[in-house]
Amino acid sequence: MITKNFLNIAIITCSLALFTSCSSDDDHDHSSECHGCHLALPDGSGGELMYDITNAAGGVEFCGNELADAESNTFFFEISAGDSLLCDAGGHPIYEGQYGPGANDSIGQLYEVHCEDHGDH
Amino acid sequence: MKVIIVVFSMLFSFSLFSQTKGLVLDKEKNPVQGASVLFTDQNILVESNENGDFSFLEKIPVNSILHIYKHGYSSKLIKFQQKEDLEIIMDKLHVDLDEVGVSEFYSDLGNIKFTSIEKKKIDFVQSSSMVESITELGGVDMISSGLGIQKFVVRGLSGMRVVTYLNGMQINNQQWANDHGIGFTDLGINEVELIKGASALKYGSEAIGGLLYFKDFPFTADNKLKGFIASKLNNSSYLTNNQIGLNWNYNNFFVDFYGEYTLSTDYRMPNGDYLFNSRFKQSAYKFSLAHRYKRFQNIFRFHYHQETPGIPGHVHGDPSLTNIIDLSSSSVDLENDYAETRPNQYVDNQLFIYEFKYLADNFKLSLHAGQFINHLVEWEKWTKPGFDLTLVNTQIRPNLLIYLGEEKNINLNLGSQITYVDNKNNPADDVLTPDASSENMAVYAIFDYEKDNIGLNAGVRFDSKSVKCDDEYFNIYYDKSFNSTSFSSGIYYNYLENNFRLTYSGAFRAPHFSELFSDGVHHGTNRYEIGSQDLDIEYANQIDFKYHWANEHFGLVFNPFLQNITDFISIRPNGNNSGGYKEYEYVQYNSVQLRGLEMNLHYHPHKLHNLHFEQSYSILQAINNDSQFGLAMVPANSIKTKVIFDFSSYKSLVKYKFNNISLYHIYKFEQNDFSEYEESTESYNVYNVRLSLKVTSKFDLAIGVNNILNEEYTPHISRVRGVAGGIPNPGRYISLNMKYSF
Repeated sequence: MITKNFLNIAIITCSLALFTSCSSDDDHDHSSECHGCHLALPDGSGGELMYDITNAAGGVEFCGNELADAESNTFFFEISAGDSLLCDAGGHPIYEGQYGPGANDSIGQLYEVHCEDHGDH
Repeated sequence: MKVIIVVFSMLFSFSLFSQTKGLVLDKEKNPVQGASVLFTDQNILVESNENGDFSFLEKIPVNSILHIYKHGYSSKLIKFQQKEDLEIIMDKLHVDLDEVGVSEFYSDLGNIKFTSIEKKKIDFVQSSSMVESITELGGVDMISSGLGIQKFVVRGLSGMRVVTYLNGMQINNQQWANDHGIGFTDLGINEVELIKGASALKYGSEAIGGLLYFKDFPFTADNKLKGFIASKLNNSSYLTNNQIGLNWNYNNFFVDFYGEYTLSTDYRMPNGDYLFNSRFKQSAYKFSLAHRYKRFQNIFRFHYHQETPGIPGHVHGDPSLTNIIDLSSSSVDLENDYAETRPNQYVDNQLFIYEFKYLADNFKLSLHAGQFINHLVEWEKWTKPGFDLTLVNTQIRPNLLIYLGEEKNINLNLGSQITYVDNKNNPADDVLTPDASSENMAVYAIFDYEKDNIGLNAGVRFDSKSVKCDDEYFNIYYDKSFNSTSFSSGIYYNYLENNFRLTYSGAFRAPHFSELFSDGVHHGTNRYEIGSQDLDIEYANQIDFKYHWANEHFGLVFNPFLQNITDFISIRPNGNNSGGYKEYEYVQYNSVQLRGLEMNLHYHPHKLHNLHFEQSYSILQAINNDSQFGLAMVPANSIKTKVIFDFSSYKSLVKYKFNNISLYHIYKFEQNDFSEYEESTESYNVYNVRLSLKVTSKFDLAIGVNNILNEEYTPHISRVRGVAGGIPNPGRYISLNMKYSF
């Protein structure tokens, strides 16, 4: 009987330890994470054109406040005079101007900024 | 101090009253050990010992219902009448059709003889998921995208038309959307009862499609600590599901505690690729406390459930034009791919329940009060939620059941249901549905009469629902009442082994907030949805006939039905685009008809009683009289077959711990009836096999292979049927389920 009780207590203790250790990682604050972002423009036939963009330092990942800025409604990505940006799939270049919801013209505002991940294909 | 002493002496009172005792025997008068005796009003379970004896601490009131059951025997329902001890004779049974209504069982939803109520035990070891196991019932299907998001479809209807109750509390969790799951897990759940169609009078007029009533395990009474630990693993999404349960009682006190943690990465499709972001995480805790004193019973329950499902198949633009390559990964990295990614949901559900019962000999008085709080956040961006909604559902249900007549064979149920629902938006990037609330007041009366082999039943319910919205963001001021009556009537007749039942019922559903006020992109469905404040009540009338017959080796159920729904609320594309998404608007169709046939067969060869063969046929036709197209999300017809071979009488196999082996097959016919924004779907076959072992009397284990033939298929009602031509369900995978009870 004593052995059985010990066994039960051991099982309960181990199980509670397992649950406790597994359930302490849920935090929906991702402000410290880094993610790549792209401009997205509907292509008129149901799909979209994607243009990878860079952060202020020229890197591909947006982190912390820079990520929050990129996802805000005032963000725009600026292409300087003489530069251009090609679509991920190639072609469809875009030229000098502001692109994103905070752009200064209605054409630029058609471009959305997306920073979610996709599969590796 | 005196008060404290009195209270404690009441709580811990050793009963001075006489016990309820009984004896369970088989036909040859041998004791039946391990028979479960459920005191249904008390929700307390005891087991018969090696002498067939069982006892309960107190003398139960006259007219209490006892449900006695054991695998291999015909279950019995007994109305306790006598002061003497009970003697229960159980018949050996080869045909066990309790899930389709042949055997007697107790139901919280009403008398199973009058209403088409089906029941399914939730078995952790024998199933991949609770929802999947319930869909083994005829006429039940699921909308899903992997194990993370699964929800029920009953006779072709889903969403707001299928109402879910958990331990007597209605679950409202934004269930109008196909990407929102059922709001709880199988943790601590013993069984589910199901009403198909508009017959769930007592539990709400809105259950036009059906009602699912989930119940926790009953409290156990043996003054010992009992419990279990259980785990589920699979190699498709590398799922790990761990559960623990503890049950304890001391005299009149009963305590249950359950906990769960589940982690899953993306699932593997038949081509070997993984559906990106089909991952999910869940945790749940449950605590229940009950106390009995003489004829009084109080139960308090608290459930907490948190889940983080990914939203797979997410695209910008037209989902049908997407290539599945862009939505999948060639492999999973177990270091990183359990972690949540975007878009996903964060769901937090809390449920509080208080139940009170007073049990007299000639009547039962009950009060059920509960609150369900659903907090749903949808994330597409990393740093700001897309939507953040809190839905609070508060419900009070008083009920009085009176036994009338000299033989107490007339039952009169009088009751009320008061529900308040409040929908609030928290700060977020976008808003799809505005702040809104609804109040529903209902009163009902249900009358049952039984005499010998015939019974009659009739019930009527009046609901008054007011919907209010005063939202500056949407610029909506709306205040409207929806009043109507629902009814249900049934008759049964038993002749020898033939049972006939006919039910005619009517129900109505007032439009929901989402149907009235939506105006925005719903990322979970890749749509821009537009509500209509002109929507009015939809009405349903159903006629349902059931014939069942069973002998020792063969059982048959034949169940045709016909349901007419007028002013059917639906969604359809309006041809416009908004922000890259197709616009869908809510409309009402004048007349919709759902008709079909459900049939069940169960067969045991005379020379091989250990072989069980079960088959169900579901044939459903949904006709939209206002359109050349059919209705959306109507499942294809199906044949579901289960063959189980029980090893228990083969000593040579039992010594190797083999318990049983089962093969499950589902054949789905092609679906050519579809709405204007759907396509036809091809037929498919899926086979699953499971080997169960009883390692010790306390340790059960099952190894299963699902989708043995690695069939590439997308059900017509898959949540991702319209994405990339149809994203397939999981390919072949192995699962391992274990449960150790102590």
